[in-house]
Amino acid sequence: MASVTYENVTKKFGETVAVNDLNIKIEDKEFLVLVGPSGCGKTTALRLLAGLEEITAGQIMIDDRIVNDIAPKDRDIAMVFQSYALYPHLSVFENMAFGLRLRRFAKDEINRRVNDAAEMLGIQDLLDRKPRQLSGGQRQRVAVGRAIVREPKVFLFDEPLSNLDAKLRVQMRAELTKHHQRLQTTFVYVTHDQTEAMTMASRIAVITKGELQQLDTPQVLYDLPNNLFVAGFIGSPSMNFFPAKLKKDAGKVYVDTGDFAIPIPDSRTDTFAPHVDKNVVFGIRPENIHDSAFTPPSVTAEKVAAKVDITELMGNEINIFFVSGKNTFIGRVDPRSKMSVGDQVQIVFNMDNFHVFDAETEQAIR
Amino acid sequence: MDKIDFTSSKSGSLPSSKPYQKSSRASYKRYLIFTLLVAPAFLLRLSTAAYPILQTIYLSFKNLSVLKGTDEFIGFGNYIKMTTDFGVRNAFLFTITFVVATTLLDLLIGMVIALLLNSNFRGRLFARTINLIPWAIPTIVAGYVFRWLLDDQFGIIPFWIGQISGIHPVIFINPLASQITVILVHAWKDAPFMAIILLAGMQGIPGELYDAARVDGANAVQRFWKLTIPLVMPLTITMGLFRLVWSLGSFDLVYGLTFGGPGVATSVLALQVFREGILFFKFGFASAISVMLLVIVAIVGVLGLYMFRKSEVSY
Repeated sequence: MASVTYENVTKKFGETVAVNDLNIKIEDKEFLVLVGPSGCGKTTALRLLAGLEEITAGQIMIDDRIVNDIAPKDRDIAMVFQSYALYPHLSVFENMAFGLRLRRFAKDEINRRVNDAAEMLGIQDLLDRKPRQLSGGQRQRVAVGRAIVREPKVFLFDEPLSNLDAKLRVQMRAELTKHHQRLQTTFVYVTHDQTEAMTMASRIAVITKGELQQLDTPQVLYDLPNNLFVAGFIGSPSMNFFPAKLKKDAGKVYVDTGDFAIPIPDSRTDTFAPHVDKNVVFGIRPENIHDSAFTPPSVTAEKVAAKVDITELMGNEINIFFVSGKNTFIGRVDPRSKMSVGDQVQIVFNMDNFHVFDAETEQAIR
Repeated sequence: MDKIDFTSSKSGSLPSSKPYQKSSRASYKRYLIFTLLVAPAFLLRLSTAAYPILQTIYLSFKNLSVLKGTDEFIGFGNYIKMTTDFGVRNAFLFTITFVVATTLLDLLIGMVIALLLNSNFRGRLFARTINLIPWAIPTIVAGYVFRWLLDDQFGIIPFWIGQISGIHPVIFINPLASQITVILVHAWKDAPFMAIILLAGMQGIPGELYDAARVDGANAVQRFWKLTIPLVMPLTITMGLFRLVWSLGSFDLVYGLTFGGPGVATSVLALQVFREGILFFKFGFASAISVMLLVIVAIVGVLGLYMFRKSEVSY
């Protein structure tokens, strides 16, 4: 049980900056997810915390202790790796006992801890097996078990689910959340999958190009992304973006994409009035685009003409790719919608939920 | 082999191959083609391996000697004679010593070199390349070169030892010194190759395993003993086995370096076969020694395979 602090942490590999001036304060018992595209520096950030890479500048603290120069084994952390990194020549039991044996734990204590962890993970029957005799999901559990028996202050996970098939991933996600609740320990979890981040995290740190973009709860990241990158990264399907210009006409502010212009609701006119004539990016999430026939009654509806390009039936909804002038965008519309490919339709943008970003700085205007 | 089973392979069955059935005509035709295609290779192998082996076994029961002009069937006579023959007994004992010592030395030195070459330093590629030079030199050449280098009159090594210690060693008149020399030169020549193989094995170990061990609390020495060693063990055993088998038949180094001398102190079984057969034309007796060598190789081979299967790892 511990807090973790990244203070101005920078890591360079030669001239390449992998992590740039990272500042994160992870609270005790928090489930923090570092998310970003591959090569963004999130794994490096985690390896710095584990002590597997040396920090170029700045410092990392576990509780109040600066761990920059402390060996991985003395940091009181345990790590689950992407490839599981199970020792292939050792049985499941020995894999889990490995760290305890190195620390010269008593035999009884090792047995107790390994058996407790095995029971918790449902792998009691596998203790005598070698890793190669296990399925992906079982290996995953053993890797988690090897971390649990150590009873560390902080658990580190490096993309632990990316080698599993989709169905198992969903199941293991729920299991990890459950373990976090049960263990009451700090989890730091790295993934490139925003769904994993959204479903498990207490807070998410979005990273790209080695820099922290936004650190907040999943809901805030989704509702109020700070910049264009976070807006596009969080949410599936991604937010739609339209290059546009803010225009003012007769006291109303419009978002003008060149193909269509949408008035901004009066309640937010004041926010955007100072930015009139600026190049912006207008963003709206797919679920805020509706078939005009099935628009919920209370929304601030603005009509847009578009052509149906592709439809993807999902059962509970239909994902429709629309084309309007030079813009293509996705809407998640009601499954009863009768729109079919090639139709010229009137669709509705729900202007209660939209985002505007400065085209130059890519920061949100709000 | 009376039945070919395509279905029960360890890694899963081949989806398209059906098991061979005698009843079906199509399968019979397939079997025929299969036989015809394999036949040339089979016949070639039969004529180049099976025939000489059988012929050797046959000869080992005769007292065929070109010089004496004898060629009679004498049963186990040659084998009984081997037990008392000074040259053969000596060669047998030295072969065992030589084979065991060189294999262990090769593995030990190879492991050390592999560990060095596996660490990160400038000019690693260059070091890996020059490491292989001794292995690339033909053994017979290495044998002759070392004979000169170690020669008591012209050799540079005894000269240096003399300069440093004041004692000028004469290696090739001392049986024990000669034996040690043969073993060391052999290790000099073959350890680098062992090192490259072990290095490949070490590089096949996923880096995340070492990361995991570091987080688990293993220091460098523990990581070596608890990860590297067990994980390269199957390869080490396989290579050790090959090394044993190769060394058992080794002939050229001893031929070039000492020609078995002084006396028969450094003679190995393969050299003894050469001496008795090619030099003294005692083909019957030489064949008997060959058969003994064959049996030893076979035993070592089977033992090695068994050990290899037991220690297999997969990631």
